[in-house]
Amino acid sequence: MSAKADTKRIAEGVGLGLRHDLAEAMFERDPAEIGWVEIHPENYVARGGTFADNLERALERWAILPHGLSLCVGTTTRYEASYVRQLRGLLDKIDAPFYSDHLCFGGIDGTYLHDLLPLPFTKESVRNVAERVAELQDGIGRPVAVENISYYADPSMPEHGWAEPDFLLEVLDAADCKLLLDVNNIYVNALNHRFDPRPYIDRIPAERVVQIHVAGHLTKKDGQIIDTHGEPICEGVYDLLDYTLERIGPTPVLLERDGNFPPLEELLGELSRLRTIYDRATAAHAASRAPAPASEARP
Amino acid sequence: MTSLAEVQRAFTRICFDHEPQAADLALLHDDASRWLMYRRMVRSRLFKMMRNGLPKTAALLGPTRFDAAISDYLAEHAPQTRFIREVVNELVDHALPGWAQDEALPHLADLARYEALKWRVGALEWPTTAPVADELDFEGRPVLNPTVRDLTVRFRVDKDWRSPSRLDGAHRVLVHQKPGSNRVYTYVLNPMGGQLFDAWRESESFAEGARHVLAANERAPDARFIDGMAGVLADMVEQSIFLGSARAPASQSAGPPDPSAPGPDR
Repeated sequence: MSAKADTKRIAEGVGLGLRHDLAEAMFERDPAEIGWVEIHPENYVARGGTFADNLERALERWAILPHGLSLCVGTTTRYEASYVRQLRGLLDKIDAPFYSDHLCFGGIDGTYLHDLLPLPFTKESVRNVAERVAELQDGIGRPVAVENISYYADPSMPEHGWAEPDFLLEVLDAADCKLLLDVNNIYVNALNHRFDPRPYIDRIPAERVVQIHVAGHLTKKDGQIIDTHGEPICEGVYDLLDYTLERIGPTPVLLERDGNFPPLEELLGELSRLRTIYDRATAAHAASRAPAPASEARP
Repeated sequence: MTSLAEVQRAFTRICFDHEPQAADLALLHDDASRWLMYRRMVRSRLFKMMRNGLPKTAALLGPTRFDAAISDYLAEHAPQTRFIREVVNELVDHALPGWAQDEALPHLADLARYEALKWRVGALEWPTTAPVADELDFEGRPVLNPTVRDLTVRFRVDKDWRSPSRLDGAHRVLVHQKPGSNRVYTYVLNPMGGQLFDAWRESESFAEGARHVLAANERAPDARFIDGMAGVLADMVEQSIFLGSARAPASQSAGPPDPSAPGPDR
C-alpha cells in the first residue's frame, strides 16, 4: 500500500532519518517516537535490493520527506535532465510536498566531490543559486528548500562584507525558496567562526522554514567542531532548537544520524527529548501569538 | 575577480590532484590548512566507499597499491557519478588496464571485475514490470532474470580470491538477484555452458538455442551433451537465472541434441 492509497500522511513533530543501518530495527519496533522519516533520494533512485524494499515498507508506515545530497544548489553546472526526471518520479511516489538540498556546491562540469563545499558569500553565488533553484523547481514540479550548511573555512569575501546570515537571506529572497533550517549547523558555525547563533535565528523568515535538522557533532582536540552526524545531540543544540521552535512555530524536526550508529533505543531517547522540546516550544509559540484579552465591545 | 566557476574548479583540483597546487589554494580566501581539511574529508569518504566495495581486491593488492590506484583514479578521472556507490565501478574501469597487465597477480583483473559486478548487481532495481514466465518448456521462449549480468574469467575468483588456479578455457560468471531476495548470487559455467547461456538468452526457444550451439560446434547431440545441457538448464531455472518460458512459439522440436557435456562449473 502506498501513501497515496492510504490517508495522506503528513510529516509532523519529530522524525528520524531512514538509514540502511537503522532501517531493520525501525521497522521491527515501529516506535511511536518516530513521527516521520527522511530519505536521501540518491539512495533510492534507480536502485533495487534492500533499499527499494525499505522504501516500500516505510511508505506503509510514515510520511517521508526527501533530502538530496547531490543537487547542491550552488553548482554552476546545469542539472542532468535524466536524473531530475528520475527524482521527480521518486518524489511523486512518496508524495513529497517539497524537495530539499544543500546551499553549497558539490562538484562542477560533471565531476562530483561527494561532499558539501561552501559557496563564497557573493552576489554571483546568490544569482547562481537563484538560477539553479528555479531550474530545479521547474524540473521536479514542487518547491525547493535550501539547507544552510556547516563550513570549516571562511567563505565570506571582503568586498561584500556579508556574514552567513546576510548571504542566506539574500539567497532566500533572490530564489524565493523555502528553507531547511539546520540548527546544528548554525550552532557548529557559531562556535567555529565565533558568532552568536540567536541573533542569526532571529533574522530567519519563519514563513520560509519548512523543516529543521538537528544532529550531533564532534569536537576535535584543537576545539574545532566537525558536523559528523555521528554523536548524540549536545545540550547547546537542544537549547538552540527550543529557542528556534518557540520563535518559528511548529515545523517538522529531523534527528540526523548518519554514522557511528548506537542501538535504536538510544536514538529513541533523543527523539523523546526532542518531542518534549517541540511540544513546549510550539505551545509557547502559540501562546505568544494568541490575541490578548480585550474588553467586550459596548454599544 | 575570480569567477564562481573558477573557484569551484580550483577547489575540485585541490581535492583530487595528487598534490594540491599552491596556485589553486591562492584563489581561495582564509587559511589554506582549512581548505586542505576539506581535501582530507572528501578523499576519506571516497576511499572508504571504494575499500568497502572491493574488499578482496584491496586485500590482494595491499593498502599501498590499492590506495595508489584510488589516488590515480581521482587525479586522472575523478568521480563522474552523482551516486557515490558507483565510484567503485568507476575505479575498476579506470584501473583495469593496469591491473590486467599485473604478472605477479594474474587473477587481479578477474577478481576486481567480479567484485565490481557483484557491487553493481546488488544495486540493480527489479523492474516494476517484471517478466512473467510459465513453467519451463523446452520449446518455449527463455525468460531471463532481468538482473543477470555476466563476465568471462580465466580464474575461479569466486571460489578462491587469493591464489586461484588458471581455468581450462574462459568460464562465464553469472551474477544476479533472485526474485524476493536482496542477496547477490553467483553461478559459473564452463565454456560450453557459456555458449548455451548466450544462445538461450538470444533464441526464440531453448530448443533453438541448443540447435545453434550444436551447429556452431559441428556436433551431433549425444547422451553426454543432452545430460549436461539438462543439468545446466535445471540448475539455471532453480537458481532463477532463467525464470521459465514465455508462451511457446510455434516451433519444431530441437531434435536430438548432440555434442559434449556442457555444464556448470561448481
